[in-house]
Amino acid sequence: MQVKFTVQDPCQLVRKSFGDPVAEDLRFVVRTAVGEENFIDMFPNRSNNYCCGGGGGFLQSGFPDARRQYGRLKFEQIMATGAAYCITPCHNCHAQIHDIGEHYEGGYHTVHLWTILCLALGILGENERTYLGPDLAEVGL
Amino acid sequence: MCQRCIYVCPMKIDIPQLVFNTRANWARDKKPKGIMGSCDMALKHDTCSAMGASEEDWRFVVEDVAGEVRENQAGFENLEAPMDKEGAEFFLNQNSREPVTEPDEMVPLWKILHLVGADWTYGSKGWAAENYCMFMAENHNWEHIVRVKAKAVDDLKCRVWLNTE
Repeated sequence: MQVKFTVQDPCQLVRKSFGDPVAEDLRFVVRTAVGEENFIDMFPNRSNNYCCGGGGGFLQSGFPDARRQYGRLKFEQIMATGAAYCITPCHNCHAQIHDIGEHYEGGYHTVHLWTILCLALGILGENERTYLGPDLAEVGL
Repeated sequence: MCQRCIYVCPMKIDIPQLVFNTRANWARDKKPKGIMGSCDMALKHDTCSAMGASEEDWRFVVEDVAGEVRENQAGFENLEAPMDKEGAEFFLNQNSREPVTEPDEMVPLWKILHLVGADWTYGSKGWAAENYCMFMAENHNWEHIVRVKAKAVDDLKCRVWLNTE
């Protein structure tokens, strides 16, 4: 299908906890699931990736304009990859990247890592596809 | 608080810690209400859920969703989402938003754990992954949340504490 994917390095998982080795593990898993030729990395990436702009309590803080302005950098970084999907292995990143994608009308989809793994394994159920776009919504059903 | 500034700084100046200390110096009633409400809610139950999900709600939704998958999805007739399984290798946390607002999003994770044969469990206490008291910069409160969660892991004698967020 040649659908393209990029991946968010969550600050909490990568920069603040396990560093570049876990970012490599993440890429190994994603590349295996979506196919080497369908993975496009963001720049910068791994421990040097940008924050989604929703962490530190920002999503709950009641300052949506400031939060989206801060997230603009992440949005532009995702758009520069041209990927149709951004995989976010952190709940907080997922909420923020989904929100800025809608707000700035980027047209990309934001999915949890487990969604893509189960889709690749052919075991993703009908009710587990909320965040997939129409191109993948019916795949493997 | 993402710490990229430390990462790129040749002197490794810890600006996030300065931000944390500044937050700690703010009067409680001046702090963002959304964060304060989530912290206070988590302090009310041993579940540590910022959305106020109780042990009963949590148990119910996990068993309900797992039961539905066992009934309706071929190949997962034996799928389990164990609760309070003593001695399990992994104690798994879950962000409150999943059981409360989108419970079906928990299923793919269960399936992966099932397929690889992981020995895991949820806990009826201390299962909520979030800790908004940390964002409030209230040391005694965020420490309380962490201690409740760590105790839940220890009480079940689990070896690894897996946090999904």
